[in-house]
Amino acid sequence: MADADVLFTAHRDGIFRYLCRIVGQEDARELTQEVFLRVTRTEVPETDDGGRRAWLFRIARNLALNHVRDDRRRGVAVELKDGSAAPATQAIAVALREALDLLNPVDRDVFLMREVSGLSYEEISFACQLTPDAVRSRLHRARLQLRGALKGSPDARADPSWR
Amino acid sequence: MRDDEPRESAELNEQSCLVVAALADGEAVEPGALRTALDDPAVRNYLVDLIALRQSVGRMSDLTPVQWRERQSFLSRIGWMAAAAAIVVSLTAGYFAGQWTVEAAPAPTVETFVTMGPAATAPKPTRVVTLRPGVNWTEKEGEQ
Repeated sequence: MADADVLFTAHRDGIFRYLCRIVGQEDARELTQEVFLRVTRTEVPETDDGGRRAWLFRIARNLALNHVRDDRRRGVAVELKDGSAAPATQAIAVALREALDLLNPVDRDVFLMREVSGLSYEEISFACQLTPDAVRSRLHRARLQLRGALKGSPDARADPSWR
Repeated sequence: MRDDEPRESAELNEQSCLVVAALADGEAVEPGALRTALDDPAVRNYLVDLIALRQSVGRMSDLTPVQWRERQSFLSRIGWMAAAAAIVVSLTAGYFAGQWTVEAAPAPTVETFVTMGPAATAPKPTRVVTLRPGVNWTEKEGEQ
């Protein structure tokens, strides 16, 4: 239980942010709790912090995949939600969400784990069960696709970062 | 990106992009490969766009804070629930273990006591046998 508490405090936000992008904020909260519930029921691997983080993200990813699969089976639309973004950045957020939605699911997971949760290539490799080279390659592909989508978006062109 | 900039996606050297991406991601980078990659203006633009993309994602991730205190108490609740469940399981297991291991005790002996009240009286005799001295009272064959 002590291990679970330490892991929860250290990684809850990263897991939550990642899950938010996949299943939306409400479900992400429940799934984050489910991740740590599972942690309390299993033995935490004897490894370093990065290894434990990767292990947590693997659990989170599997839960998210099951959740999305169940939603599809039930015919529920999976909406990528976010909180209260400032109006000026809302258009970019919408364009980005749409572009994320169009990514290959594995590429999206790799991208989100890197950009939203800050995992290293090695951690992503463990969490997504890919080779480090595949992680690099998928990340690159996702970035190119998102970059192309944002550069092509009129909303993004209004943003100084994308001018 | 400006409209007058060349269309570079098709010309991007993937290996160079991977090198600058690794730099942006805090991964190990070989300095010579990085120098070569940064010589390419298209790769430099790619690096700038990576940063812009990261900032956009970061702004998108500004989520309303979650009530993690609730979650913390949730973890504590799990602890208490686990402890309570452990107690119930051990009590139940102890009960059944006791049932199976202890030899069955002998059935208790039952003694019946009849208390006669003061008003109770003996029934009246139906036949009175009088014993007289010198009379042979033992039974003989054919007699009842």
